[in-house]
Amino acid sequence: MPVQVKGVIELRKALKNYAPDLAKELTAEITKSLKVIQKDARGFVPASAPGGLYNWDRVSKGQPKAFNTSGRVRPFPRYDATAIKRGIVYRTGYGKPNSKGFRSLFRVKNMSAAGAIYETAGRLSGVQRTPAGERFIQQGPLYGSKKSGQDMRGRVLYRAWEQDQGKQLNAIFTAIEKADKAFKSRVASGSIKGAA
Amino acid sequence: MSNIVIDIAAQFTGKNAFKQAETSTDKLTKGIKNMAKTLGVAFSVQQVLAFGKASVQAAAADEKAQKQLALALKNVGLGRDAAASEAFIQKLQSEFGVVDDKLRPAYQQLAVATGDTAQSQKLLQIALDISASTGRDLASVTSAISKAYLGNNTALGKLGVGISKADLKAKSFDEVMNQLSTTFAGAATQSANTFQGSMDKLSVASANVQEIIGKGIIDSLKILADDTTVDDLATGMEEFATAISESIQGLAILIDGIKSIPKIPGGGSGAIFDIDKLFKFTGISMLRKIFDAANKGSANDPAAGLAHLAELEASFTAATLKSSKKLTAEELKQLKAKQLKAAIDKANLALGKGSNVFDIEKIQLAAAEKSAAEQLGKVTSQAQLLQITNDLARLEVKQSILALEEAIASKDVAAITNATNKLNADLGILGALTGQKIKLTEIESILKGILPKDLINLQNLNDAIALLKIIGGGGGSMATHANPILSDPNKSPTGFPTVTQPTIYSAGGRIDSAGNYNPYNPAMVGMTSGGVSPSSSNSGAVNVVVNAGTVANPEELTLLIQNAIISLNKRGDLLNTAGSL
Repeated sequence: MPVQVKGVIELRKALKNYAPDLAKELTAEITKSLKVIQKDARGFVPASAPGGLYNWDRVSKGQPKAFNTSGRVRPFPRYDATAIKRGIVYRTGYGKPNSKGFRSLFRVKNMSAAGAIYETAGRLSGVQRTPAGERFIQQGPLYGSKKSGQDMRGRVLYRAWEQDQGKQLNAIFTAIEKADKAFKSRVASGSIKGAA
Repeated sequence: MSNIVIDIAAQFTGKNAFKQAETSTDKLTKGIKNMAKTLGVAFSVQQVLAFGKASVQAAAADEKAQKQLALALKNVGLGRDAAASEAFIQKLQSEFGVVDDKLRPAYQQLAVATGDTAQSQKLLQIALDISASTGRDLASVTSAISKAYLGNNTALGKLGVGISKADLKAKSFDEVMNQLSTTFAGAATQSANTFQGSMDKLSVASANVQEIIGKGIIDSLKILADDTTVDDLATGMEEFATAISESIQGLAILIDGIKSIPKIPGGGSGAIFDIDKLFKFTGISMLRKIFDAANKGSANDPAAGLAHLAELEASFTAATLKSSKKLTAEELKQLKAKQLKAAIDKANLALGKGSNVFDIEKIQLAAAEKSAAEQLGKVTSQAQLLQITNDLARLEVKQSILALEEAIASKDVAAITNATNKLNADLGILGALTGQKIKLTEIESILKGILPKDLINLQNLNDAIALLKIIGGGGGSMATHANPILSDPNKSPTGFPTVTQPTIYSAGGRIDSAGNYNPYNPAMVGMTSGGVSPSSSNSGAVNVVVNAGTVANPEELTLLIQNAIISLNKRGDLLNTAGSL
C-alpha cells in the first residue's frame, strides 16, 4: 500500500512555477532514490531462464509462436533478460487518478510481459497453483508481503523493495520536506515575487 | 499489459464521480454559454440568423413529429386522443428527462401495435422503466414489447429482463407485462432523481427552449407574411435573403455610378442626393461619409474628390487600427492582471495546503510505529520486547506532544485539556516501562558478576608479577611456608614441614624403597592380588591398593574359546586327531 500524502502535488506545482531550481533539485533527489530500487531490481533478473524452465529462453526469434496456445492473441513472451531489465523503470510524474481518486506520485514498474511472469508466477496457494507455478516456486521464493487484498510479493521489483526496508522512502520524504522548507523560507524572505 | 507497479506515494485528488458531475455541469454551462453567445452577446447578425435558422429547424422538426404522431393515431382510429397523447408525452419528457424525439416514435409504435391509448401509455411507462433499469435504449425495448404484443416473444426474451422461455410460452402477454411491471417498478423515477437524471431534464429543457423560440419565430413570420405553412415561410425567407443580397450588390453599383455623375451647377449645397434623408439608420453612416466625399469633388476636378475619398478612407483605416490597438492593449493589460492575480491565488492556495496538510513528521511517526509493530512479531527475548514497547511508548509521547502543540495553536481549551491528559497518561506508561528497564539493568549487572572473569587481564597480570617478585625475594604479602632458596643456590632449604616417608607393606613385610624393595619380586610391584595391607599401627603410612583382575571375565573367555574351536572346525583345522572322540 503506498504511503498516502497530502499537498505534494500542490508543492511541486508551486515549485515549478515559482522556484524551478528547487523543483529540479527535488526531482533529482527523488530520481536518485528511485534509481536505487531500479538498480537493485535489475540485479535480481537472472541472465537466463530459471532452471527447470530451460526451453523458455531457447525459442529462436524466427519461431515466436512456439509457445502460443490456441485462443491466445499474441505469442507467449520469450524470456529475455535484457528486455526484462529494460522494462524495469521508474516514473516521477503524477498520473491520472485511479477509480478511488488517488494519483500516484512516484512509482517503479516492471513493464515487460516476461518480467511480469517471472515476478509473480506462483502467487496462488497450493491447491490453486498451476504446475508451472509450482515449478517457479521450486526455483525460489516470493519476497514481500500480502496484506488486505493487495499482493505485493515478487521476485524482482517487490524483492528490491522488500530488501530496501523503506530507506529510499524515507530519503524521498526527506527531500520533499527539505524542498518545502527551502520554498517557504524563500517566500518568507521575499525572494519569490508574486507568491507572497 | 502487465501491471507490476509499486506506488511509493499517492495523493487523494477526488473521485471519478465528482469528475463526472463536473463534466456534466461543464457541458451544460458550455451549452448555455453557446446559446447565450448565439443569442446575441456579440450582436452578430449572422449568428442571430444562424440561431434563428436552427431554432426554426428544431421547431419545424418538432411540428413534423407531432403531425406524424397525430396522423399515425388517426390512421389506427385514435385521432381524437392525439392531444391527450401529446400531453402524456410532454409529461413524461419533463418527468423523466427523456426527449420527446425519442418518446414520440416509441409511443407511435406501441399505439400502432395495440390500437389502444391506455394500453400504449401503460406499455410506454413499463418500457421506460425497463430502459432505465437495463440501460437499453427506449426504441429497442419498445420494439420488443410491441412485437411481444403481436405474439413474437423472441425479442422480449433477448432483452434479458429475467423472463424464461418457458414463462414466455406459458404466460399471457398481460401476465408477462405485469411481471415486468413488478420487476422494474420505479426504475425510471429513480433514474430521473439521480444527478444524471437532473442533467437530462435540464438538457431537455434547453432543447425545448430552442424549439419554443423557433416556433415563436415561425409564428411571427407567418403573421407577417400571411403564410400558413413553414414551407412557404422558408421560401419567403430565402427570397428575402436573395433580395437583400441583390440590394447590397445594387448599392455598390449605385455608388460606382454616383462617382461618375458630375455635380449639378448652382444646386444649393451642391449635393446630388441627400443621403441623410435616404438612409436614416445610423449603421449606414459610413456610406454617408463616402457620399460626402464623392460630393466634395468638383465637376471640373473629379480627381480631387477621389483623392479626398482616398484620404478619408485612409484616415478611417488609421482610426480603426488605432482603436483596435488601444482595445487590444487594454485587453492585454486586463489579461495580465488576471493572470497575475490567478498566479498569486494559486501560490497562496498551494502554500496554505502545503502548510496545513503536508505533515511529513506525522507520516514518519506513523511509519515508525508500523515498523515497531512489525518488529514486535519478531522478538526473541523479553529484553527486545521491552525495548520495542519502550520505543512505541516514546512514539506515542511524541504524537501526544504534537497533538498538544496543535491544540495550543488552535486555542481550544477542551482540546488542550484532552491533549494534556493524553500526554500525561503516555508519560506515565513510559515511566513504568523505564522502571522495568532499570530492574533489568540490575539483573544484568548481577549476571555480569556471575560470569567467569577473564584469565588474562591487567589485574591478573599484576597479581602474577607480584607473586613472581615474592618468589624471587622481592617481598610481598604472601604467607611464607619455607625459607627462600633462590637467592642462594648453595644453601639448603630450611623451614619445610617434616613429611613421613611413605611405606608399603606386602605379605607381612615392607616392600617400599626404605625396606627391602626388589623390583623382580611380583609382590613388590603389586602384581599379586592380596598383597597389600594397611598397617593400623603406623598412622603416617600411605596405603596403595592394586587390583589386577583377569583380562576378560570367565564367561566371555569361554565363549571366545568356543567360537574359535567352531571356526577352526569349519575351516577343517580340527583340533582332534583322526579317530579320537
